[in-house]
Amino acid sequence: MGLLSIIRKIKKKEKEMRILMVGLDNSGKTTIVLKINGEDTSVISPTLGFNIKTITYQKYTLNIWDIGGQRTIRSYWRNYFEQTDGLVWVVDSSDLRRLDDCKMELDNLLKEERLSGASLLIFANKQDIKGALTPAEIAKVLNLEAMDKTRHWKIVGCSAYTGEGLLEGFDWLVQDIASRIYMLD
Amino acid sequence: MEDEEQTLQEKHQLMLERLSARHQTRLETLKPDPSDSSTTSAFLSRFNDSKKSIAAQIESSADPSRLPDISAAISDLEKFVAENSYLLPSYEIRSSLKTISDLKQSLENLTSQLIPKKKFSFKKSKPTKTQIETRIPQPDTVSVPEKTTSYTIRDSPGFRHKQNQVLVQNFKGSEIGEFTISDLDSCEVKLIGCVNALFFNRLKKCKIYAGPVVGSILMEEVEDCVFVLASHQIRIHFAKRSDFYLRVRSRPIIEDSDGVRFANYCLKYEGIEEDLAVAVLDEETGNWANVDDFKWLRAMQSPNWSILPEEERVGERNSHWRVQNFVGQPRAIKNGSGPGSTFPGKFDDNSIGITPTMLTSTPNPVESDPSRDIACKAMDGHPELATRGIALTMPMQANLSAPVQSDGVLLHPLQRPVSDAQSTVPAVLYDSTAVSCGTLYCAIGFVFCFCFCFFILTEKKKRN
Repeated sequence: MGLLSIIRKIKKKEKEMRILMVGLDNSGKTTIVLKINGEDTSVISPTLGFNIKTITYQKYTLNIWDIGGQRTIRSYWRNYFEQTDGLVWVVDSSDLRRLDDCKMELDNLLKEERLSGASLLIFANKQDIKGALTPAEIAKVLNLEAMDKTRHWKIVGCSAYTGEGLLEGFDWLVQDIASRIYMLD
Repeated sequence: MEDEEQTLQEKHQLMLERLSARHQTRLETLKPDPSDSSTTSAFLSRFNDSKKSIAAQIESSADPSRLPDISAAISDLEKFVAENSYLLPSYEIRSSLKTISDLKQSLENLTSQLIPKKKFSFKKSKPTKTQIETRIPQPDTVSVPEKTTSYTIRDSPGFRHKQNQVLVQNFKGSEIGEFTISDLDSCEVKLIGCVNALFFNRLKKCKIYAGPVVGSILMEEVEDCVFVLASHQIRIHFAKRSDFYLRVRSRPIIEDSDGVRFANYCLKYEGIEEDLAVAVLDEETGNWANVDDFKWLRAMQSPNWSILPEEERVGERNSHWRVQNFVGQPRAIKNGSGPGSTFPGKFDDNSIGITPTMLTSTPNPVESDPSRDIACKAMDGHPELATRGIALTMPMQANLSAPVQSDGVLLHPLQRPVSDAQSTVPAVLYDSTAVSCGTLYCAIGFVFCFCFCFFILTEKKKRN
């Protein structure tokens, strides 16, 4: 893996964080990434594969891997688990029907050993839509309280459409990762 | 001389000693061998025992709560193999790893069998269901989301579990953000105004006409349907033999679908232009033809979808059909089957108000034109369209060619009765520009052919 080794080398030099964005299709992962990067979000096609964005956030450099969530390509998620510092799980709060799918995929993900150290941020996206579930309701449905006690996690309601809640979520994620990884300096 | 003999003898002796010592050490190193094979057999017996017990658990278990135990047992077994791997022959390691992966596989199968049964309680509670069923004729066919204190999931507003009905929903002035349409059979759904998100699920033989969606559309399991949709994003899953008339800002995608065909958006109702502008969907992007198939990740055209041939698009089915249905004339109902026949009864109750006076005062645009009745019938069975569409253009040619030539404004005469109706009824209409163009080209083609033949004939005559 030429690309991975390059990334690792750079990471040693700088304060880099590798953040993996996953979630079901239509949850708004790409929109969140583009919004937080201040890009145009009006034309976004469903992700066929993945996108990488490098964002300077506070004094850290975030490498955000935004992985497509269509059913066919979910099995490829595990190819991106290596070296992940932060995991962002995006939920479409308005898609009530597929919440059980969402829970199942998240549970599978959290079983993964390579992600066991990663901080988990859950975005309850699409809060701007009337009838969307609140973050507290999503937390109950996903049964987050029952999660492994060693896991650092937080659920944040957001709207990628308006941008609300995105910074709050990323602030927490970056602080949490920094306190674990860069504690010494 | 003797000295030499002596030293030679000594050397020989030393050599022999060394060899015997070597032999001894060899024997010693070989000694653990029998014990080694005993550990192998011990390992194998223990491995087989736990393998059998796990397999028995998997076979007998019908209780999802025991699955974690089984999975823990398998991982213990895996650990056991890993610990003993250094003293095992490579064949044994391989075969035991294979056994473990088989066990994991069967556990996975079991999990997939058991877990789906253990679903969340997303369904609405029974009393509300019956309530909605009885409320069908009421203007509010939308189930109101019920906010409950605990986490029993409420249903989003939508149309569910209906057959042979025409369902209309106007989002104008409503507070609805997301809308779900699921479990419909042979229904016709008309959605007017902007909405944030649409979900379609398990539809059969339905016709869906929707105004612009500001967010995204997600659909699963649709069969033999026609969709007329405008949205920022569209995802189509498990669709079969369906036609989509789309306007999309991004590339539409299909997954696990086949026999789906695409064409451009063609919906008309009063005020749709404003709605489209509000949703930033007023421009045709041409993306309806840029479909990504997640089950066909190659450069070649996917066999699962195609562009709907011009002559088969609903555009040329004549626009009056819609008006008929909305106005609810008896004739139209006779001709229209299924969904149409239930329409007038419910009409007065619909949120889109049509007063009875209008029903009588609206001029009948149909009766004078027999060709339209044919068109009307053709509309019923969507799968037959492929064969009928071509036949349809012929009788219509006579009607259309005149206005096109004399007026310059395409279809003006045809649309007039429609706009009459529109002033009071937000009728859903098709854009029939495609038809007139097609017939015009046809006519021109015929003329050219004729000229050509004539030319050849005259040439021949001259030569003779």
